[in-house]
Amino acid sequence: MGRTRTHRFAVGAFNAGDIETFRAIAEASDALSAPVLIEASASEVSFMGLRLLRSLVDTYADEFDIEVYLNLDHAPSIEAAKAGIDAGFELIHIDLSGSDHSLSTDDIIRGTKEVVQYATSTGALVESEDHWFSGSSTLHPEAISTHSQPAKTDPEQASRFVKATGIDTFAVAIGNLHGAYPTPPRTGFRASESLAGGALCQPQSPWWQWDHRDSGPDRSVGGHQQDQYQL
Amino acid sequence: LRIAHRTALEGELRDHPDEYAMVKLVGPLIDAVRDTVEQKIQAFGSARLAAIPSA
Repeated sequence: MGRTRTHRFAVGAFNAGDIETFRAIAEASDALSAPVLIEASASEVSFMGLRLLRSLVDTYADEFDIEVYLNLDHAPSIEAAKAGIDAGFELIHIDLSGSDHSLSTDDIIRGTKEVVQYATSTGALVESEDHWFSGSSTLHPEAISTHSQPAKTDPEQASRFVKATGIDTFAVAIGNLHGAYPTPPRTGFRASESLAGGALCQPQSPWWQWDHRDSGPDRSVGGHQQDQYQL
Repeated sequence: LRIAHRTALEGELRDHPDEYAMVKLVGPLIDAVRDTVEQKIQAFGSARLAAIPSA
């Protein structure tokens, strides 16, 4: 994460739920020498399986010699997040507010903290938010309406959430939406800068400095080498 | 990515109605998805910024 700030770039997280997409992401990462995240949603996990996702990323990392990490995208429950941690995912997005819109902020904080605590067993980074993202990942023929306009992250509230949960990264809402619309959503990158400027998240582990081959997280399923973590 | 994947798949199925070995149809799908990923990488400014393994 320090590298992204120093060199002012973003790392794309690309969803993959089939082998063609996996291969395409690996080829693009290789062709452009770009670090990438490969991520799987709950439905992609349900089809592919956590172990297969982990081993595909490891295989492509070796074959293409690319810098690639695995993210669990919008894990809908504490159990799903823990299973991702156990499977050796480097990043876990726990999205309790997205899976149950009726949860109270206290419930979300409590559940998110539990995942953060569990993630210390592998050093996985945890991403979360206290509000849910609008939209769905489909083609939307309709224009973006007031119904699909997401709430914007309130910096104060976000800062409290980060402090209360100890998460490593915050899933910010700056007008972004899931899905494809006739006109792109209006995103407020300036708002994002002011959030980042508030130093919301200070990851404890120098994750982006890991050498993904030698000192990264244990990628073996079952975690037989957890004592080798250098976090 | 999903739109690129699906669009390319629809094209391959339309262009090769007699082919049933899917492995012979996936090349253009991978190309289409890779092109989309590369566009995103350029937009994110992350090209040429991968950490080089020390080993």
